[in-house]
Amino acid sequence: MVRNVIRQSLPSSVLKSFQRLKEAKDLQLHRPSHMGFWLRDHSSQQSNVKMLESRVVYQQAMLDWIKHAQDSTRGGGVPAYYDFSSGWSEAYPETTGYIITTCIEAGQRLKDPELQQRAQRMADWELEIQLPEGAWQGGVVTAPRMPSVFNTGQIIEGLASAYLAFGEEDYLKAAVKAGRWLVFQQDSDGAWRRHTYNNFPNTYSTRVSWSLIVVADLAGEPSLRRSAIGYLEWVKQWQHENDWFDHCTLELGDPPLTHTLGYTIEGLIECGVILNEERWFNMGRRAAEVLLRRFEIRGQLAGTYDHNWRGDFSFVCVTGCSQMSRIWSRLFELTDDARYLNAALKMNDYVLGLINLNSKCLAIRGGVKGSDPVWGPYMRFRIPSWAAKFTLDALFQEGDGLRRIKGHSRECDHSLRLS
Amino acid sequence: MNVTILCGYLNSDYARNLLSALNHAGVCGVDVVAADGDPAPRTVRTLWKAHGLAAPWIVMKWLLRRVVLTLARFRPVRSLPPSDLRTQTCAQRGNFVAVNEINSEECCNALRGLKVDLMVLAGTPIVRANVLSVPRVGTLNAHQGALPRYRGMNVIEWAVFENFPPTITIHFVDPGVDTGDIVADERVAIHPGETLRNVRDRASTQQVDFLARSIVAAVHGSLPRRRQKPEEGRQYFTMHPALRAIAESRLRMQILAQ
Repeated sequence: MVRNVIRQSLPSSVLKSFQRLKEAKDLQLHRPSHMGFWLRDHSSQQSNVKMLESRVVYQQAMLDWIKHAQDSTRGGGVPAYYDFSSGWSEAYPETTGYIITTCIEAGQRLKDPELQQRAQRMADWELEIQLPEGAWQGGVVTAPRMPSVFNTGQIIEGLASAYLAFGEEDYLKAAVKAGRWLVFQQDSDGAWRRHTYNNFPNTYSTRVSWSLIVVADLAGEPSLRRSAIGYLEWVKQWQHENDWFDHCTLELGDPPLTHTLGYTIEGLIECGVILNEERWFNMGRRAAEVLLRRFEIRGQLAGTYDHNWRGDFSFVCVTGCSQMSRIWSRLFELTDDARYLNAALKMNDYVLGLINLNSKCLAIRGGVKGSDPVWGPYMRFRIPSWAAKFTLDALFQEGDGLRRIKGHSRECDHSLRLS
Repeated sequence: MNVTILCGYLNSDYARNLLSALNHAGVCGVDVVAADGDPAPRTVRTLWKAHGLAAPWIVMKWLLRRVVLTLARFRPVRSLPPSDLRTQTCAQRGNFVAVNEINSEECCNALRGLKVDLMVLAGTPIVRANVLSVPRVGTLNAHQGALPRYRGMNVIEWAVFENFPPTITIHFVDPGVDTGDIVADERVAIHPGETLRNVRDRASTQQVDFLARSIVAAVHGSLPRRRQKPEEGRQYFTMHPALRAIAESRLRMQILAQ
């Protein structure tokens, strides 16, 4: 009661200061590694971020961070994030799924067998926790085991990569079973309305369509391909004339994060490439161009964009930045338009400049924060595992782009060459 | 015809060179409107975003400069902020007007006061429609790229990168980015042993001469106008150093192939 009386009698500014102190205690800002991170975000503002080392150093630091993250859990999964107040989260099936693809790719590029073994452990763990009906649960592994459409879609991407890399039929069988479950959950108009995040249909599941098409081609299951195309047809109606996507958000009514816009755009482009259909490709490319223009003019991408492409520049969604970078490099690969690669290079400079390479805390060194500044609303005071994954993907794709310009490119993995 | 040069700095070299070239061609009485190039920081937040911990130092420097400029106003006209451009303009029987910001109402009023027929841009930030609407005939600009193909920034570098000959285009300015009617274009020669910087420097010299010739043509008659379609061409942005290095090596290859 005394506490309440004191609280009511204090001015709001004093109360706010106390709240901040409490938050600082919760975030363990007394720890030098956390304090260093927090201070750095206060002192170096978004436009002043600079890369201090070569890309190879950052790449290795991010891979070490993923290894450390995997080692912090039991079983082989990768945690969702490192939180300043609660530490490492439990293993997260969804992002472990698509991190498999990144680890395999990194292992092959860097000729690092350890990364391959780790990817295999991740894939085996996914098989262990698959639900009887074929889906995977949403949330971290200790959450209630409710199936999730989007998360299942991301995991089958990883299993398809694992099947291609290690040749084990079990991975493909699990992916096909999950794909059939996805087909079963789909409504007649192509949308997924059940088992979605926050229980509303979204347009960012184009990334599920991409995975479904990959699995359909690997397993010879045309029903999966039909389902994927059905969803793309449903998404088509939600692209506005200015190329913005409706229903592309995690919370109903909120403007979409660049993270979810990135999912949608990437899914559309990759589906267009595999299906050899320019309409899907162009839907994604147009939206990617809008974001490229905004990035080039402003020098940064906003955290979210509303239906008029008005951005919220109070924070940057770093994951979305890396996703857009990877998409732009991929567009360069497909169109030979070097402006895409140019934007990707600048974006990677920015994202890599945010990575801490000197912290003694292994959970911070090499990790990519959710928001810039770290107290931004997306993954507030957290270092999510998927941010490192997408940043690595962006670096690999950028490297391919530069090699291509210099005349010794890797073969483009799909036949489509769009003008 | 009243010709006015609009430039973003009080002592713009570009404007001075253009005045000299015009004088050489026998065109006198050209007016100059110049911005002082040091606009006030708008908010503490933008200052902090741009400079971080260095923000207080930037504010102090800016304040000091404003104090010096304000004190200078109380002195006789001859000793206003030193400007060779001002002296040169007056020597060529033109009027010199300094404004705080290019896109301000103050600038529009200055241009209206000069009864501008043809405005020429000589190194300005993006000029807004309210300023562009003042001149009777229009606004000319020299762009270091072949229009409509190369719009935007660093287009000399982008042209070299894409194995396209570096070109200068004189065009009328509209509110779009390099989308106004084209007047004429001219190639920039590449000589053995040159780097991108050399090519860019020579393009800068050449564009002054080319612009002066276009102004002379406008004064003595009328300029040809070729319409651009906005959907033609591409807008380019600042080139990343990694691509710039590749453009340098491509320039060397182009020189070898000549």
